[in-house]
Amino acid sequence: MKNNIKVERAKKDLTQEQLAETLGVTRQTINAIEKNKYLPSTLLALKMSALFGVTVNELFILEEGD
Amino acid sequence: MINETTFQLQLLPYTYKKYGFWILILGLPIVAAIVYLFKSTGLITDSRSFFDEWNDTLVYYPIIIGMALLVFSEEKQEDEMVQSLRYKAFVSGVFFLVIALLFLPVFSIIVDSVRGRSLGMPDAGGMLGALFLLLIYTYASFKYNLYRTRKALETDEE
Repeated sequence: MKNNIKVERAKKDLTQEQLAETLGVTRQTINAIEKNKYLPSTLLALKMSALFGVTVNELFILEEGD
Repeated sequence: MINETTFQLQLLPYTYKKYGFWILILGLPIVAAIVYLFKSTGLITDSRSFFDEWNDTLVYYPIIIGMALLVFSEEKQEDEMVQSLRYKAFVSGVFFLVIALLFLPVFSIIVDSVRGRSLGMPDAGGMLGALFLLLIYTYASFKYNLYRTRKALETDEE
């Protein structure tokens, strides 16, 4: 699975720290999600989707083999 | 639904991690001082309960209490990734504990052979008993929660 969080974050001109604070998680968690080292819960994915104004499917994209 | 039916363990606040750390640092010297005090007043006549037999339980109390506080308290910044990592650490910890205790007799025999001592089984009855309780609880708790969750979901089936 890949994701567009870094792109969406850049569009909103947010740092990882600012995004983490808004979502109530740590900066390390945002970093891990962006690098595909941690798959967020549905709740966190929906919060991100609402914040960026895009669907969850636009944020997280399934890849071959997922 | 699953959250309603399964037992949720509430972790201790972050402050308890500091208590755990200090118990780990200061616990052993304090227990040693208490044993020395008891021994000097004649309440304990044999110091083996603390110093000579590493197997004896007194040594482990401050270590276990300190480690338990470290393990069962929240991180300074607790979130879902931290919880996920803690869960994985618990699972791998139990797995490696099972492996280590099952292979303990092998390690013991190797050490005895190298030292030229007569071979024998290590006194691991207590540890194996505790491991048995942990595994039986884990399995029973898992199966019970799975049963309750499935039962609850059956009635909600559309």
